[in-house]
Amino acid sequence: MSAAIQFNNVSLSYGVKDDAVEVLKGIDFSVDSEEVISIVGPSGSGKTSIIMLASGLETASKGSIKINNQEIVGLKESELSEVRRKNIGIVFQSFYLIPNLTAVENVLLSLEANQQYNLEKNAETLLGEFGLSHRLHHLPSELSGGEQQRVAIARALINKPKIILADEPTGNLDTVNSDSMMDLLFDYTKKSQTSLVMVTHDNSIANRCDRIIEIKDGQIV
Amino acid sequence: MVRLFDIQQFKLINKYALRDFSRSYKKLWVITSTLFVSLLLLSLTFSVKEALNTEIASNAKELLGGDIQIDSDIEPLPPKVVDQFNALGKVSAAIEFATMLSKEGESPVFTELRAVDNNYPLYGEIETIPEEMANIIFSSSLKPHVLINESIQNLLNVGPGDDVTIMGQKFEVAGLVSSVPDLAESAVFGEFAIISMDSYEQFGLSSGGSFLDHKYRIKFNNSSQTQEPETIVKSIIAYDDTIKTRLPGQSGRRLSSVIDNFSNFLNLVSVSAMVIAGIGISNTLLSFVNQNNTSIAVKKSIGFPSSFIQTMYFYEIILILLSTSIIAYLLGVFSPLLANELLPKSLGIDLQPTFSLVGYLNILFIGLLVVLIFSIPSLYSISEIKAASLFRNSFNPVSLNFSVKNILLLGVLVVILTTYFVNQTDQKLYTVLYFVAFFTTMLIFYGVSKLLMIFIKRFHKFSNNSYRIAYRNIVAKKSLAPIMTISLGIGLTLLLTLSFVANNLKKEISDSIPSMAPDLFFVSIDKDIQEDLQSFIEGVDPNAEIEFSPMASASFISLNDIPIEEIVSRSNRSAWVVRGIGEFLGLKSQSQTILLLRESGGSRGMRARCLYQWTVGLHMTLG
Repeated sequence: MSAAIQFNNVSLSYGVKDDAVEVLKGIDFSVDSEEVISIVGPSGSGKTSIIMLASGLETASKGSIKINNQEIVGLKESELSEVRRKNIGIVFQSFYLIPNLTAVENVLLSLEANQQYNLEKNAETLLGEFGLSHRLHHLPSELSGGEQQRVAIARALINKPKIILADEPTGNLDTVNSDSMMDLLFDYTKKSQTSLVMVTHDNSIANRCDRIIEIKDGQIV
Repeated sequence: MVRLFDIQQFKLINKYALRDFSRSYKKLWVITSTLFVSLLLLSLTFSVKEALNTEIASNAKELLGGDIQIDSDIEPLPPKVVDQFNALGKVSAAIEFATMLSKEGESPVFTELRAVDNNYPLYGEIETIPEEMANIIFSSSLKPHVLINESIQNLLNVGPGDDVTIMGQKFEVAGLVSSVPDLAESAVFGEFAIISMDSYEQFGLSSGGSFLDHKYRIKFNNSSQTQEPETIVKSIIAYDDTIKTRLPGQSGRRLSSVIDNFSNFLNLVSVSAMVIAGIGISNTLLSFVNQNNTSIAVKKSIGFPSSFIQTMYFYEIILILLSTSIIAYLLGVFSPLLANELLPKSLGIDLQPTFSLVGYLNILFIGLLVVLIFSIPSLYSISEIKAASLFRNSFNPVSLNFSVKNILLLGVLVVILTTYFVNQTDQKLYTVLYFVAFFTTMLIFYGVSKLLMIFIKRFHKFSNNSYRIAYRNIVAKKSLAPIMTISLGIGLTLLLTLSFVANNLKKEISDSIPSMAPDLFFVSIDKDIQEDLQSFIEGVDPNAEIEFSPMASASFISLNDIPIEEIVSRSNRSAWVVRGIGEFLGLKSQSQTILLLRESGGSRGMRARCLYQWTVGLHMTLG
């Protein structure tokens, strides 16, 4: 199996000289394609930083990061955008739907970013699969938290990305919604043969993954 | 990379921009209204200027009153010269001079009197109230008639049918002049009256004083071949280089130049207003970007590059510019109709709205440059928004982006704006200086804002939390304080400058009047109004020296038996004193008096007096 994500001796620090804070220290790990991984650890350990680096939204201070065998450290912003469009779907803890776009428009945004036009039917079908066919044309402010997160997951999945990065996707949901959300995510990744890297504090969710990576003080334990 | 020529991507940008319009119009309203007001100002001044110049150009002959005008100043042209003119076309002779016009029981008014012959006007017509009263002044009756303007009517409280006195002769007011065609040559802003040439000659008004001005206008027989007759006219009067000619274009040019200068000044003010509005647009856009921080970050996380998001917002601004500029221009196009209502009717100006694509493109181009200059630093701040902040739930506000590349780009755009504007004005140096002063003032206020921040940082011990927050907002690294200081400073400076210009202009005009006026001049008046006039002048200038003398009309023929032409050439500025219809002082048998006015210490007055003493000591022959 080829590696979907590969971290080699990756470090991340903020600030300079004496004020520098080292968030990640020489991280090495890889995620195979179709593999589901959870990253766990205490707050401030550097879990989210790994997701940020893998998505190309943060630049590593040191080391090498490969996404589907493509080195992303040192790429320009426009090149990183292209890597994200073609390979990665991101699910945030706080959903982050665009407030003046409807549910279907939020999902379409991903397709259009990838220069796939006039695929409204695809977006509607996916939202229908997520049980939101009655909420297609509602603005985020008109949706519940669970519905918003389902739209956010649909937005991340619509492009059929090879990798899904999820940062505590159930962090803002109640238990019932949380469980159904995770069922949805696991089912979909299995069905679409997608890699999933998920940051979570919830051990029950972490235990459902193929592998658990534990982080402490910026290092893999 | 954004490919604007990719039709699908363009459609996408268009779709998002229109959707943003429909759903975020409240946020964009401030930008729209700011841009609209500044474009409207620019459009108003351009449209009125265009309409005025068109009106002047299309009525050049009416404004001059003929195909050519010959000005011989104080002396009339010899009859044989006028006969030669008659061979070329229809000739209208006019004499203009300043005199007193009075009504019994009212203070006399100083009036520009125009004596015209039956051919006047050669182009256009005199409009009167009541209508068609212009011809009455030419009708022969015992009592001559005069047309007066509204100003005399108001000052003397006279109207049609009333009597007024001009140089001892009673005239009946035939009507009010509401407009005359030869606007460029008329004293339409003061008091003026029109009488017939016959009345002028019949009632001995020819001793009008030192302000006599003889004008001849010719309407050529075949107007389409004006080039040749003009040359002929110039050759006829070539014997005397003091005789001046004016052509229709030259007549309008002076007025056109005044209008151009004034409208250029207004344009500069409106561009300044646009620049100040631009600072506002810049601020609003920046806050718009900060308000949409999350949405922008989400778009980036999905895979939209910054350039796409920037292009989308630029596109929105351009759409706003296009729509506001069209409305502003259309309103501006019709502004000449409003200007017609505000201009005095006596000017006889009828401005017409004229739509011109070039005019619109002119407004659009200036608007585009200003919008680009002020939106680039705001919209380029989009690249500073980090999508990674979506993971942390913390957003740092972005500030104006002044990278080296942006500064260079802005520099080029500012140079284009300045050059474009300078090229449209006649006063290029002043326009350049204005822009240099404007941008220097911006830099000065930027410095002032930095000094203020240093000053505030030194005295920052606040016990109150509100003050502490205000202090932090001001001294923060990405504070809006500098840009607010610049916009306030520029606005106030512009306001103060305009106020200073207005005050200095008034002062300059009032100061320059005495220096522009001759040190010594004389005016023929009727002796009945001598006391009235004396008290009036003393009221205006208690230091004025006034001398009243009887007067006879005569001219030198010879001096010590030498013909006067051989002694004093026509080009001599004092030639009119000894030639033509010179008036002589000290001849007590005449009914009229001559009034000598001299400013205190005026050297020219002394020379005139010496000249008089010199002449009385000589053996001379008076004609």
